[in-house]
Amino acid sequence: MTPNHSATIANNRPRRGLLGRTVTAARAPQTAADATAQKLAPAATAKPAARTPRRALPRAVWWVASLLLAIGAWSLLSVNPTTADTFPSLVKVITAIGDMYNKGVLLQDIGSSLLSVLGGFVLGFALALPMAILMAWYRPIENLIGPWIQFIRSIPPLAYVPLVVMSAGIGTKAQIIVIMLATFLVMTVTIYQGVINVDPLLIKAARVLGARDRDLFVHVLVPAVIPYIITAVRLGATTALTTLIAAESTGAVAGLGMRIQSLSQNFDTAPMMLYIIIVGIIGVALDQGIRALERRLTTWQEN
Amino acid sequence: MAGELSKLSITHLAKTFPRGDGELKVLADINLEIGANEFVTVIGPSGCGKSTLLNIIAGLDQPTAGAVQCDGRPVTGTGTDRGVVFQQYALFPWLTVRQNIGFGLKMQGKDAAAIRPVVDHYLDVVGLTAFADSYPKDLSGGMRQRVAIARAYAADPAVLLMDEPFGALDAQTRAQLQDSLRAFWAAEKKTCFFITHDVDEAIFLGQRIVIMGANPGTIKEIVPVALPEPRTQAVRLSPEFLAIKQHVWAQVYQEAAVQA
Repeated sequence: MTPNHSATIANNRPRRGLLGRTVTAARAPQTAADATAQKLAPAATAKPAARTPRRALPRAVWWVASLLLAIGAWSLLSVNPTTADTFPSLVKVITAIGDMYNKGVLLQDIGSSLLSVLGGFVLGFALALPMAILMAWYRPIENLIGPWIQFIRSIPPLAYVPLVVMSAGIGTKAQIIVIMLATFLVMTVTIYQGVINVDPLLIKAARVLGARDRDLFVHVLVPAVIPYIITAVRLGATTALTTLIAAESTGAVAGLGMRIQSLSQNFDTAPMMLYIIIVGIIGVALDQGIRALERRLTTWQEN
Repeated sequence: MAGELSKLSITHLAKTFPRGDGELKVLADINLEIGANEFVTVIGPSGCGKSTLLNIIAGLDQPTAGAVQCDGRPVTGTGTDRGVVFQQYALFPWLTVRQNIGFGLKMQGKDAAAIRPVVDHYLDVVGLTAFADSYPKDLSGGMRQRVAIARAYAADPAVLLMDEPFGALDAQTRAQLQDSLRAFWAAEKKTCFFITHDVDEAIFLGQRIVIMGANPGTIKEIVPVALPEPRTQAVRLSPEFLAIKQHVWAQVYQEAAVQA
């Protein structure tokens, strides 16, 4: 694991808004508190209170505008002769919900895919956490296993899916194994970074304040690594979803990725688009859920 | 030098680090007695081993030879009888100001009910009551260092070791914190071992100044500071202060010139 590479991963830690903009007004202005403190301690130079955001349109207005823009663009694509085949009218896509539901496959596909994603992800995380800590603490383990984690991580999962299917057979089991492997690799690397980045000065500070080894783990290591764990979880969730499509490409009986494959063979674009949109919605929902968790757990972070 | 009252006793202390095929002598034959509740400042050029000396007293580093005793007991590791204030504050960013100040007491196994009044007291002393529930990221450098000092005090060590605690602060904040620290010390006596590279700071705070030389780190001279107590900013302009400054500066400058 080269430091260069790891830096990239550490820098991935997003603490930004939906599309990368810094979320302002997240920090409460402390004007009243500032004033009191100045009185108590003349030396205290408090940070200036958070700048009041410029008069801006409410979030919801922008969301609606953005949605309308997308619908407009789609409609144009669906009437333009060269793209009309790929972009069926939105009405067709929406009615596809009913069709697929009536065929009894919609919920089955969503359920099957979520099972694979969650199963693989949870197993991947359960393995990544101890592996990352072991690698960060014991040099021989890092030296023996680290290079292989990097190596396998750089192979697109689609390349080794057939191998997994050959050994684990066709079905949910193989899909869970593929997702577990992919998420394990990406999460191990990220959490490992977090463990080796714990500031040694904080360890020293805790020790001189009387912390024992167990205290260091609970009160210094764990809280220091939490931001990295959350980033790992986010990267893992994204990886799980992208890998899912690869995992289902070989002989799944149900699933969003499998259905997209089979629909594409019939050029059945309306339900295919519907499925693609569902994959997107699941991805955004996962990301937003993790973000909410992050806001709760890492309010203390500088940004 | 308060022989029978000696709080910290450093005898024939030496530290070498392996370097290449040889070794680097960082400290050689350091002998120092520090009395209970005494305020000692240490000054010397960079590389004279003063931080290494502090780390050894704190128990964060081991000497190659010699020994440190605190209250007559040999120092073998960190202990709650010796607190440390670091230059880079070293606050726990995930804990609020209140939780940071209470950290030492929590590690000592005190329960929340016992910790709260102590923390309230030190919040008041450092003037940060209004920021009790803020996180370190929302504080200025000076405020962070106040929290770090309060945190060290709250754990109630007999000896307070400070490694250039004001080194990263601007001149005004630094002067104000020197005032507060001195007032703090006058109110609740501790044995203070304070490292600095600022001659004025060494004189203003110290009852004695330990001047160190480098290559290897040794004690060159110990200068008593007979300035009136309590010390106020006015003392900085007194002839006595300036006389000491002239002397200390000459020593430190000479040492720096030898280095360069």
